[in-house]
Amino acid sequence: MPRDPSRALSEEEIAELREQLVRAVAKTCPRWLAADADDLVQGALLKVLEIARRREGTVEFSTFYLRRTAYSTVVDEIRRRRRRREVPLDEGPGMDDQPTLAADPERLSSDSELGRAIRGCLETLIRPRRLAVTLHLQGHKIREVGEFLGWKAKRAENLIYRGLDDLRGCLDRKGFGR
Amino acid sequence: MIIDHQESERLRRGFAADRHAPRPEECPPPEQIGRAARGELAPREVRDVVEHLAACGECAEAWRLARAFEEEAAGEEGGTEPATPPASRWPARAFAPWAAAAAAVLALVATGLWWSERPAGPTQAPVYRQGAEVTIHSQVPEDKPLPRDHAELAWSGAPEGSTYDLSVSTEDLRTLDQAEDLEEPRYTVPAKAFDGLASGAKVLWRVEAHLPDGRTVASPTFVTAIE
Repeated sequence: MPRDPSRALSEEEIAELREQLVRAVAKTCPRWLAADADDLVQGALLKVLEIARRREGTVEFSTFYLRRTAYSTVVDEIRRRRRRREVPLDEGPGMDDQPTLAADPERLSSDSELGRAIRGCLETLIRPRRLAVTLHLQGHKIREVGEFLGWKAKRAENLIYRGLDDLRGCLDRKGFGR
Repeated sequence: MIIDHQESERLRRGFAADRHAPRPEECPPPEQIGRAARGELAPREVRDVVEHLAACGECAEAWRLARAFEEEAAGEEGGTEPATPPASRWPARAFAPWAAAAAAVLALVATGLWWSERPAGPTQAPVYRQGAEVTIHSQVPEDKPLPRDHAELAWSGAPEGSTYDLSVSTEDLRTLDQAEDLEEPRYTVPAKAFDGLASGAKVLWRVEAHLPDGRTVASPTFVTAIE
């Protein structure tokens, strides 16, 4: 007999959880995935209810926890679709949606090519520089790079500079110079 | 040195536009990426995740998603500061006290021991050469040359948790190989680094240890012959 994963919580509690997950998913979900937000909420809710069932309803779900569940559900779905090629790799800029970019397929394509070249070049950098430059390219400041990687800011700064130099040299050789 | 922000933006845009996962089976679970992006993992674990992001556009996107989500949540909870990495939980190595650093630098200049041959970088951390507490010793046997196909350099003296930068050069200071952020006190120089060196040629090598307490200790220059 199929189990009822929701039985550990009351209808009201489930409705409240759903409402919070709707908000959390809406904040995490890329625009191109927004049409499926309901399914994502349902997926996240099932995960939460499964935990409630295992703990026989004795667990309280913080907003923090629900947000994380929403995040994991959305990332899982993005991965699933990309891997099934339901979304072209260069389709839409994802969470950092910018309509001007989305409207310019040529630029998107050229950015994607540059991105692939960057990743090829990063492979050739020595590891500390690769790590520092990767976080720089992810938008992090020098101080943050140091804190993430356990380095003094000065060391992070040196590695970013040297790594960017290496990266530029490599991109120039590949024809992606400025 | 100044970062060209326009250029950085171009590179960041390109980096974000590539969403390809070349080896999806190696992707960390979203929870792990989220924890790393929120600064909940130790630096060593974060490094492994970041190493993966360097090659995987999909996971880099998941990282950015986690950060954006976290920053929005932080804003909602009343803070104006965006979420930051875990400075308080996993501190970067603290800077050595200013006075000690200045004294060390003065002492180095005065005694002519400054490591002047080091390839010039944009800036250099204070170096406590041969400090009273920590001295790096070579563990390479002095009485026999290193085999080219397994030229392992090894050293000791720094406490556990230290990381190391290594520089290997010829006697005329031509750099043969460099390694940074080694987590073990040993390194095998690739055989191709010795191309063009005569049998019995001597190589110079030096280690800079970054100690867990934030200090940096430089070794003497060691000399080793190559088979």
